[in-house]
Amino acid sequence: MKGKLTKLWAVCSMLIAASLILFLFGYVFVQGAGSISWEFLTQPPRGAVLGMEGGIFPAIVGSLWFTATALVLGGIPAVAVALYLEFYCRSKKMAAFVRLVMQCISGIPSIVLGLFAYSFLVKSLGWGRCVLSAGAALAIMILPFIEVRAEKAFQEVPPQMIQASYHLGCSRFYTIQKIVLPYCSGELVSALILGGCYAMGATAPLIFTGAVAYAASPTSLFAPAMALPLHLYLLVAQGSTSLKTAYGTAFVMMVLILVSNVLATLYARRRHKKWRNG
Amino acid sequence: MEKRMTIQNLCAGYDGKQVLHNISLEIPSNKITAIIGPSGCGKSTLLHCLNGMLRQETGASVSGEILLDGQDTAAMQEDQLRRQVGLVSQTPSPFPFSILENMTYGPRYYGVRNKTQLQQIAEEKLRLAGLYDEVKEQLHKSALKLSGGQQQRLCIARALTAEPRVLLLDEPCSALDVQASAVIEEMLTRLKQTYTIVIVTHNIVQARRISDYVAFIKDGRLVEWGEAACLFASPQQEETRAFLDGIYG
Ligand SMILES: Nc1ncnc2c1ncn2[C@@H]1O[C@H](COP(=O)(O)OP(=O)(O)OP(=O)(O)O)[C@@H](O)[C@H]1O
Ligand SMILES: [Mg+2]
Repeated sequence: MKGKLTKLWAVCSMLIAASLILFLFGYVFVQGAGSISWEFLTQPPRGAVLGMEGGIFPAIVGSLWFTATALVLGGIPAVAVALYLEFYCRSKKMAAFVRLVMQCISGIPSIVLGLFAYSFLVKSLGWGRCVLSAGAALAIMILPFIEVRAEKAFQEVPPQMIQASYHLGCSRFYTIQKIVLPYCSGELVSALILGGCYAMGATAPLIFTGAVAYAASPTSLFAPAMALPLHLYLLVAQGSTSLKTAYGTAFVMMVLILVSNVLATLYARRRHKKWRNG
Repeated sequence: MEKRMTIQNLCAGYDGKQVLHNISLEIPSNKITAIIGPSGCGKSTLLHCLNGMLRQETGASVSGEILLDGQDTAAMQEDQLRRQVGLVSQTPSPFPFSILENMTYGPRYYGVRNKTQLQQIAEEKLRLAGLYDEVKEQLHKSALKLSGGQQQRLCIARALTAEPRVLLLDEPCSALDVQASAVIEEMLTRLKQTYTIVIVTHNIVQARRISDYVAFIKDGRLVEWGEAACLFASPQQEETRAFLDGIYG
């Protein structure tokens, strides 16, 4: 009896969660699909109230720039920290300390990161509002996110396999390069892509540091740029006149995130086939 | 008797808990030395001391002296030592590459780049491990598709690519049936012409069949060691006798 109830409860929760997600996606897609057109995807925003007409092309390109910058600045150190903790750090105290720092960083509200990047990078260092400043703020935000996942991926590598490499007299570096990274490349790529999606969806770290209401597609790291989430926010804030394009913007964001997730999953599956099942 | 390794007053432990107590032992060249003892007595730990892996482990402590051909292993570079003293661990762990790539993994690291040379090394060592004829048609097949016994022999062949002076084997036959074990035993007897072999085994009958020297360890202490024929025929210590009798039934 108790077992059945638990099962019923589990199934119900799952159904509710699944239908909520489906509804959310469906709603955005239905509302947004109408405003999707070639022009919407390739033109800059226009209109008496900006964004009411025209497209979101510079915002798409801008978001890709922000995300790529964040991934380079945040992803590389995140993977490096995870490698250090798993393979190089001998002291348990040191490892605990690094993990604590990671936890603290992941606890920082993103608006505070934005403020920090504004006062330190934009003002003190004089980088100005640009892709690089905002990318740095995003990088700090996604660093622990990726680090945790990378560390988990490294822990899944069978220890006998790593030991076998050491037993052949091979160095840690060679072992990591030939065994560890290829073994978890699927998980690593997913972690990076999820981190990228997280960065792409964030608004707060961008507002003061690099994203602007209107700019052409950036051509350098030192130019400000538009970003999809900020553009969406501004469109909604402008009221009902631009609601249609707001949904269109949301649609594009969701598609970008969905597609990258699907690609990551497919890639991870292919790697698994090769590396874990022979 | 020519000595390949000399172990003097070796103590080792994990996280402050001592596992090996004051072990002094000699490993003769080109002979098979079997290490026997009850489960958990420290046999694997001893092997990890011999190839220097234990020093690398967090929380592990090692003291005492281990000489390889008269040279103090503590003073040797870790990766050099591990190359000289190869270890094949308890569970066969081929890399998830092809058989050929498993065989060239080490040599590539040691700096061999030439394709024909790599192929040659692979072939030679696979032959030594008695695996070549079985797999020569399928060197590009994934090593994970081999049988347990073949995987174990592949791992031994892979260890040989490092050109070790000593080959340590941790229960190479524990997961194999009688026939697969017999193949490995036959191979080891052949290999001792070139290599010095230390084998940990649960199987006393196997130790009897293949070993020239035997060391019996109990609770981390070396109870007795010596020539296999002598030790099996007339063990000097009561504990050894009890262990051997216990196994025989
Ligand atoms: N990594 C480790 N950390 C802590 N303790 C360990 C570790 N490895 C082994 N030990 C302990 O050391 C003792 C000896 O272990 P070891 O693996 O050397 O035994 P063994 O003789 O090889 O046993 P078996 O025949 O079952 O393989 C055991 O009590 C074990 O609990
Ligand atoms: Mg063992």
